[in-house]
Amino acid sequence: MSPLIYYLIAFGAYTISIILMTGQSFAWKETRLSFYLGGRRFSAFSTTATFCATWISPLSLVGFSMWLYSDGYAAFFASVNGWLLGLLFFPFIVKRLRLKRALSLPEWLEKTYGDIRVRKLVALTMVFLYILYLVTQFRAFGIIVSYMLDIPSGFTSTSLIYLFVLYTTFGGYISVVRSDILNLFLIILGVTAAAAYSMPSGFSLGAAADVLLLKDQLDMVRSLSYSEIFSVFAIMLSWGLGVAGNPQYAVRILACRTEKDAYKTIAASPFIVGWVYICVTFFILVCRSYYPVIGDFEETLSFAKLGQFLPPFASAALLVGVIAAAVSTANSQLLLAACSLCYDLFPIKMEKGTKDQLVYYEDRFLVVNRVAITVIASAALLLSHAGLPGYLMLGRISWTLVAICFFFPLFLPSWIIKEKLFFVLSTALSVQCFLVFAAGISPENAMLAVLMLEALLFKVFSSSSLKTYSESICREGQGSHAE
Amino acid sequence: MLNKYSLETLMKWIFMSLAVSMVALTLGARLHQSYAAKKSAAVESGKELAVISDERKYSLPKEIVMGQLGPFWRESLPDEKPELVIRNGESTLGFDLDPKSIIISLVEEERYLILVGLLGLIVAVELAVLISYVLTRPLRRLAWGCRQIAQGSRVKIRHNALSPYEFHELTDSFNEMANELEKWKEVQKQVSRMDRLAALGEMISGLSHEIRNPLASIRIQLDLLRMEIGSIHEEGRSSEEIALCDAKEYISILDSEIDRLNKTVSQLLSFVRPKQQIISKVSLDDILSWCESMVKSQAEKQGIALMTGRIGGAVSVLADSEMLRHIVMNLSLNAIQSMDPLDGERKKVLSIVVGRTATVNGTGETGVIRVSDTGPGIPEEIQHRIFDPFFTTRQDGTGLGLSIVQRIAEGFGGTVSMETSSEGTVFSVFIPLADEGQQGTIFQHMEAQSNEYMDS
Repeated sequence: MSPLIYYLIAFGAYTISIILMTGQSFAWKETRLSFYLGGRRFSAFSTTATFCATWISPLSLVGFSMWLYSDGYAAFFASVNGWLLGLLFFPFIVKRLRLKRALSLPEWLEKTYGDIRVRKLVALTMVFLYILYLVTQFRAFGIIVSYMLDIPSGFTSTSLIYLFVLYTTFGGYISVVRSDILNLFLIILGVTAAAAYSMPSGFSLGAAADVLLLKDQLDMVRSLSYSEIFSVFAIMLSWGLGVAGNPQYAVRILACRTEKDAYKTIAASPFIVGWVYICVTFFILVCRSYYPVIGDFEETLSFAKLGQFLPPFASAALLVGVIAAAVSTANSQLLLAACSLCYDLFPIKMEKGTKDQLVYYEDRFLVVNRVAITVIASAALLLSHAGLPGYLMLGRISWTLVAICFFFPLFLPSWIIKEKLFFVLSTALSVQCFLVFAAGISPENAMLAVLMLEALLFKVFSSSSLKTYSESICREGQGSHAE
Repeated sequence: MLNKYSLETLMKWIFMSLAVSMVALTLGARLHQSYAAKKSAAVESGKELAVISDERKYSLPKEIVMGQLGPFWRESLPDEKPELVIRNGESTLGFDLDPKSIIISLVEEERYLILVGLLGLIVAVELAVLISYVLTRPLRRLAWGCRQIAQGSRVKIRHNALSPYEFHELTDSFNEMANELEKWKEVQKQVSRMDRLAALGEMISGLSHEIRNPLASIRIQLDLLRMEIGSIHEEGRSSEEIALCDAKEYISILDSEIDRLNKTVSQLLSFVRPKQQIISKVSLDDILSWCESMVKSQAEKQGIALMTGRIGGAVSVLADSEMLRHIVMNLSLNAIQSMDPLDGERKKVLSIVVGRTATVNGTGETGVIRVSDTGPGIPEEIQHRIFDPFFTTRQDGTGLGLSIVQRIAEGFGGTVSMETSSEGTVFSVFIPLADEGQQGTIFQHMEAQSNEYMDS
């Protein structure tokens, strides 16, 4: 049977499942807490599902795959190691994050460092970078759908993800989690099917080991120059720090029912994410060995074309997995962007004086929030057709901005002088934008330099404040002697 | 059966079923039509090829014949009766239509329609969600309002701009019902208070009578005893002089205690059986000058500054002059006592101001006496009880002062109100003005009120 039939059936089934299984959009009793964090009542299972589904984006599926296809194991070391390195940081912030009972990460920063300017700055950055992120998800979805349904890539294909994402995000975090459970299942199913059916002669452990240890694959790693090794290391570090500081994961830690659930999530996630990466890596390495040339196509399209070497049902499962990855990441990012805009950047003030105010306030707030969701998604939809740079590049820009904004405030609070945080962050963001957009330096290299600058500034401020403090102690001491 | 599902879920299912049916119907009809057309075209072309091949006696390789027939024909299996037989040289070739190929080709051709169907499905469901939002929001507010009313709170539901007309009407009806309930609660409160007061008055009348008679007898006997002791002292029996002095002291204590008891009983009686009010035109300026002479010394003893004043021109009200003074004195003494705990925290000021102000309904004017202090205010939890008889926070108080003030003011056809905060308390007594036009109706009202009190 034609693969198109499989693709149509798979896509139709996905659409119906999203509609039926992602549940309520407007809960009967909803508040900001339930909308942003699902009322902080999610178990380890649900949180792990949404954590992993959000993690696996088209960037990490397609971007990584095509890099692996062209450069072999170097891509694995730089990206998979980097991402999993970021995961190691999470156990250290669970307690700190949950202690403040904040609804968003910018609010947490304000509560921790007592500076509303930091909250506004970070919220503004989040709105910007998540719109960029959304553009990448929309594009990837559009290309995959146009390939699957054999239609021109354009407004029709991207408008489908627009509708999916609006539908799942309107219900807030609860609806996002429900859709993520389905999406994670489809991602795992897709990559597992791809790995299992990728070998032309059928899967066997011996044949798999042959592919993994193929001389060419290993020779490429051995032949890396020092500058390439540094580049791989820089990318690994920047992607790792980007993961560690990503608000998408921090929010999921905030939304856990208990601290124990958060730790369980962090403990279980590497296995799920690791399985996905192993399957994808195996599938791509098989393609690299057996079908080394697929032609000069756009990244996502190349990935989709690799699917043609699979049986149609496995190919359909893999492509639906990419669609699911795009939807699961996009709805989470859309929710965060709307939260930053409505809750952190321009919060609606509650009128005082009337007893029934809270009910109307919550209602109004959530209506405005949904309008913001529509506006942000529409902006991303338009931008996805606006000829911005390739989506891997957009992902790298966003990723590095996240690390610059959040890494130090989240993980190294003892270095930070509260009064100087806003200055340091705004300087770091400006320098990063200058280096990337004006000087044309790659986002990862620029980010490493900017992180060092941030560390230096924090160090200078902390030692100068220590000096001022010790001088004041000395002066007091001298004063008491004179008396 | 449906009570387990939310309106949104039901709407979603209904809309989705409708959308699916529409898509299935349109797509089904379209596919069926296309299938029939393709099949008949394939049959036609097959027959045509068979005729041509028969006429021209072609002898072609099987693949070329199949290529000529197109993708919808397949070679017949050995045990199948072929739908189409083509003579090919000396031999014959059997072919059958392949419905699977036709369907695949159809789906490929109609994929845009399928895509539009899927889009329609999502849009329909999102519409369902929005419609259910518009319907459920006002219901949620009404449910919340009902809970508030059940808890005894006053509530007014606002209109939702997105809701249809029916919900606006429902909201209006709810608000009207809530208002009526409030009024009804107020009436019930009044009735219950009147009942309590009537029962109290009855009890106090009986009790006072029972206490007063023995008290009068005790007083007479005590006076006689004092006289007797006085005569013994005059006769100069020196041996018992010290003991007699002690007895005199005890008697004087008894005397003052009987006076106190008598005063309390009189107060009780004046509460349940107020004196007949003599209503006349009273200038509030006279009350103000009386306050300065009577209250000032009392206030100064406590280190309180008395400030009196008048807002606007001279004001005359319709009241019983003596009782009006009683009101002012009562409120002033309360204010002085309330400033006791201040202990140098802030300046103690008692202010008495008279004047005229707008009535509550805004239709006219009324006279007002405002007595305010700079005390710590009245705690919120007892504010609703301060006009209740026998409610007091002082150990030596009877708790009748404010209730008597209220009764007297109501007897004039006026009202008493109180505003309090941590900065102090203001009691305002509103009394009808002695304007010419109003006098007749107000006299009638006061007469009725007086009679009512006398009856009780």
